[in-house]
Amino acid sequence: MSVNFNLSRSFIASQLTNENDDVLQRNIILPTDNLPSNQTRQLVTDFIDLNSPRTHHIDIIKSNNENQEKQILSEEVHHRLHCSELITEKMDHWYLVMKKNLINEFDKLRLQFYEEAQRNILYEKEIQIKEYIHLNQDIKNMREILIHYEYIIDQKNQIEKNLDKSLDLFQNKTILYYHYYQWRIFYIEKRQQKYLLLLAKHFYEEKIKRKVFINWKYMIEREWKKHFELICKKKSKIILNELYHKYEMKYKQLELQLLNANEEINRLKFDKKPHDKYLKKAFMRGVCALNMEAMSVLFKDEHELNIIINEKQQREYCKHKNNDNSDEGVTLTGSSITGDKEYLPSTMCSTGDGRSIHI
Amino acid sequence: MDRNFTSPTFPKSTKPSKGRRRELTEEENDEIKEAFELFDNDKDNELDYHEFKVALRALGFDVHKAEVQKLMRDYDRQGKNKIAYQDFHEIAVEMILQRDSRDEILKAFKLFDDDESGKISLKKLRRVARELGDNVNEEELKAMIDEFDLDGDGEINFDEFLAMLNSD
Repeated sequence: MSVNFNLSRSFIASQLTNENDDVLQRNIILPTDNLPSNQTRQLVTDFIDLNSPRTHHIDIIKSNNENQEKQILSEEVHHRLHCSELITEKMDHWYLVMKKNLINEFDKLRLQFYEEAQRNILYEKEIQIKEYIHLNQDIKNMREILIHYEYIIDQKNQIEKNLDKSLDLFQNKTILYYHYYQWRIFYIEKRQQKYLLLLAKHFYEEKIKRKVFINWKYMIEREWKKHFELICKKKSKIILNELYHKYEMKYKQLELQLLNANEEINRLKFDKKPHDKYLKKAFMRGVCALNMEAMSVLFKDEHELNIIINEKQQREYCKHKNNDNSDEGVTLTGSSITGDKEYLPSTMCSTGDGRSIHI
Repeated sequence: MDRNFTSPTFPKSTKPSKGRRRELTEEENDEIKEAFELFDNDKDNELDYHEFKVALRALGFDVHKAEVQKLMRDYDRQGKNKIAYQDFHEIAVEMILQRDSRDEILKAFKLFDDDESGKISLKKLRRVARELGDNVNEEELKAMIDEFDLDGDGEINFDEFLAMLNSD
């Protein structure tokens, strides 16, 4: 807006200066050259056309110069005064109007400018106020944050201090413990060694005590043993004697018994003799009979002759034997084998004589 | 059972032993071995200073710190500050042979005679028997005292004690 204003202002100013120059030129020229009325008319028209665009003005100036040369010496002298009065009037009027317009323009512009300025100011103020509020808020917030941070830092410091203290304490404690336990260990080791020495002493003492005592005891025991041995020996002797006598007695008794028994046996034997004979006979008879029966059963249809012959032989043999050996035992003889047959051992005798058999 | 009671710790003569005339008995060897093994705590077959001192004590030798240290320095070959079995044996043998037998007997007597009256009564003998866990009956204890109680006071004094130990 202000730029436009500057431009229009400069344009108007330049126009004005141009017009002033022209007017001056014409005034100078007019009094000397007795300008024609056309000229003045053109001047007026010029002045009236001031507000028109500049291009037209240039053309008009050009045309103006051309007309000037044509109508310099015309009849416009008498119109000069009238025209000049008109001109001055018009000029005054125009000047006033100009002034008014200018002033109006200026006022307008000023108003505009002022308004704009005000607007700007307001705007800026608003912005500033906003910023101000914003900043205040920020300040407030920051203050709060600051307070908060300070608080936190304080707390942290406190914590640090506490930790430091406690660590110090702990360290001291551990050092103390270390020393204490070292001392204790040392002390206990010492005690251990002392005790160990004591144990060793006891060990030795016990050893020699035991030795002495056992020796001593054994000496006594030896005597006792000897004594005891004697007694035992005596006692054993006595017992041996007793046993000896006992068994001697028994022996004698048994010998006697033996003798008696032998006598008895002899007697019985003697008594038995007569009975023996009869026993033998009866027994032999029985056995012969049995043999005969058996033979007859087993070898019924065969070799009847042989049987008969054998039987005869046997009978004779039996008799012979019987007569010879009445007391002594007669051993069984195998029967004669005729052909391929075996006969039962002949112990029989058909006569039935008893015969003792000793197997 | 038959034991060999000529224990050299209580030898027949009360005179001090004449130098190294005699060798160690089986019993003494066993004693040394036993002491070594018993008191080698970490079972590394070597005795350090403390173990060594204790082992010597177990053999009845009350040695001072300085002596022990000297011995250790003399016998410690590898510089580990420990004593091996051989060295210990040597040292022990040395010390045993230097034992004063009368002194040993006196020590033993003092162990029996705990209230230091100079005599061993029946009571004390009974106490010792009980300590050793031996179930001795009264008769035997009485006999033990009576057998060697030469002056007939019912108690054994040191001379009688000595005589008793020397009698076999």
